[in-house]
Amino acid sequence: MKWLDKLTTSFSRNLVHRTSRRHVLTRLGTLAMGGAALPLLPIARAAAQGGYPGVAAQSTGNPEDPGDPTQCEYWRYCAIDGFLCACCGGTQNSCPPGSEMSPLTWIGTCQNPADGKHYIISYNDCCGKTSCGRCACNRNEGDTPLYRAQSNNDTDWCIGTKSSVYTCSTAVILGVSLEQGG
Amino acid sequence: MSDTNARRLGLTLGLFLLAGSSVIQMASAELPAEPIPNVATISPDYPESLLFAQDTNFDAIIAGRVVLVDVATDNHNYKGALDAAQFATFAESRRRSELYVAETFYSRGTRGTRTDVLTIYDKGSLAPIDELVLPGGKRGLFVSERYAMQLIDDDHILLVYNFTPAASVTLVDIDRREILNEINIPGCGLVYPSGKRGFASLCSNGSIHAVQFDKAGKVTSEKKLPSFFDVDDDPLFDKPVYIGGIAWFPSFKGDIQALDLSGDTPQVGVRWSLLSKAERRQNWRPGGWQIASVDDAGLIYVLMHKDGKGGSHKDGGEEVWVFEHAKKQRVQRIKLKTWGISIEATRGPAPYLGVVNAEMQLDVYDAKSGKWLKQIGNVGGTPLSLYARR
Repeated sequence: MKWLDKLTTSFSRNLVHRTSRRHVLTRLGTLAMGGAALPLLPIARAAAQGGYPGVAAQSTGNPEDPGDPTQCEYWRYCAIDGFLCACCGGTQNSCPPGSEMSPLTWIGTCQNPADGKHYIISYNDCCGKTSCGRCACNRNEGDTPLYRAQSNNDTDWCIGTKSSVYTCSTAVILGVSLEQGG
Repeated sequence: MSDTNARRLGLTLGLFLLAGSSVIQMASAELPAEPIPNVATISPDYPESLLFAQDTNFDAIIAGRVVLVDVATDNHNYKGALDAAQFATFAESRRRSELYVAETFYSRGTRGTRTDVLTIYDKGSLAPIDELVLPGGKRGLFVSERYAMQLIDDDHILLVYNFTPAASVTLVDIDRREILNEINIPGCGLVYPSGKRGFASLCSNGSIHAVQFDKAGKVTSEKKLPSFFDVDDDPLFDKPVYIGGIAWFPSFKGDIQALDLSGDTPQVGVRWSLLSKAERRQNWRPGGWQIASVDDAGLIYVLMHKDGKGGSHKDGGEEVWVFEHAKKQRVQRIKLKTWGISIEATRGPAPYLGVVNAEMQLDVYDAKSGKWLKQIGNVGGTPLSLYARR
């Protein structure tokens, strides 16, 4: 799904990790916090170190697909918004058992640091069970407002599934983007 | 002290204490028995200082809510709440003593048969008093978005935005509790009240789809207007503020665009920058969820962050900038106590500024002075949208 969500969350993590600003953080487990005025809470420290509290690191096992799918900074998640399925019983490209993957979704383009290529990523939501609640991540590179729905991550993309109830989000490779230098 | 003396002292103290307690008992009446059951109501004449805080409740989205918060009072700020299930939308009627929630249920909670329903609440009891099933299971589901449901025509008609992903708008006659029509708006989204009785939607290429209809919901005019902004380079946020019939849309990179929606045909208005050259160099940008608000004096509030870039448009901000649109000037700069995510000014001549901060708590500022006044905690898990009185 994509909601802006915990927004903070993700941005938080993004800011913490990618810009070294400490805006985020929170009680969600990640959220943002207001700059230097706030103490760096434990959760923020965890975020700053990379990773969600109590979530063990994973690997794809493929050096051409580097990074930790349980972390918001994993390269495929550049326009994700939601709970990471890798933390919820699924993986970066599969839904948790018993849920249903939405056939419709929004699309982003993310650069793989291993080969420098831009890949088209499909952020399929997993649906039919209540919100996972783990590893909330919100990144908005290329995200557009609701009036351009195909690249909007605030929409519940549990569309065309038996239930529209949102569980978590995946990031599935569709292919190399020819437009951006694949 | 001998044992005898000690006993005498103890006896004396005991009598003294006993006498004292009797005096106390005689001076205070017993508390009366209290009635059961006993359920509070609130005056349906809500104060100007009331905000509706919509909690999408990300950790259990099927159980969202809308909380009524009076930001002015010393206590009892949390006045009550409405349920608002599954990416609900919310609107307050000006004309009727009613609140509207469009929501989605499944017969087995997260599964089973889907029912979309417009639930109508009484403002005084906050109890549901009526409902209208929205057919087709097509209501659009998004993070709380005020322009996915709007009242128009002196609140006689409610517009509900659908997304399946085919985009359409359902017209509901609020007085007769009837669905009047459904209007397709392919490639476009959301509903911005427009003209005598109609709406405009923005489209994925930056164009406008404008529709007017009669009281029965029959379309009387439908226009597709050309693109007026570049969605790829600098999208307009989908959350404008209205001043009269003009909608003001901040853009991702820090412009503000006027769109005159007072007539049946939208007219593209002025566009100007919220930033000075120096501020542009510092990459100040609007950002957050509910990034803008307007008060009754027509001042526009925009949540701003420094060092913005592509993808930072939902990051929130450390300051709120206040603009006088007629002069195209900033008149105030409010430095937030805690990083903000969503903002809303209350009604009235001395407005408060509600700020949902990054810790998902509600900070209250004096909007005129920018002074932080208080924090109202735990109005919801993720209360991302604030709605002032209409």
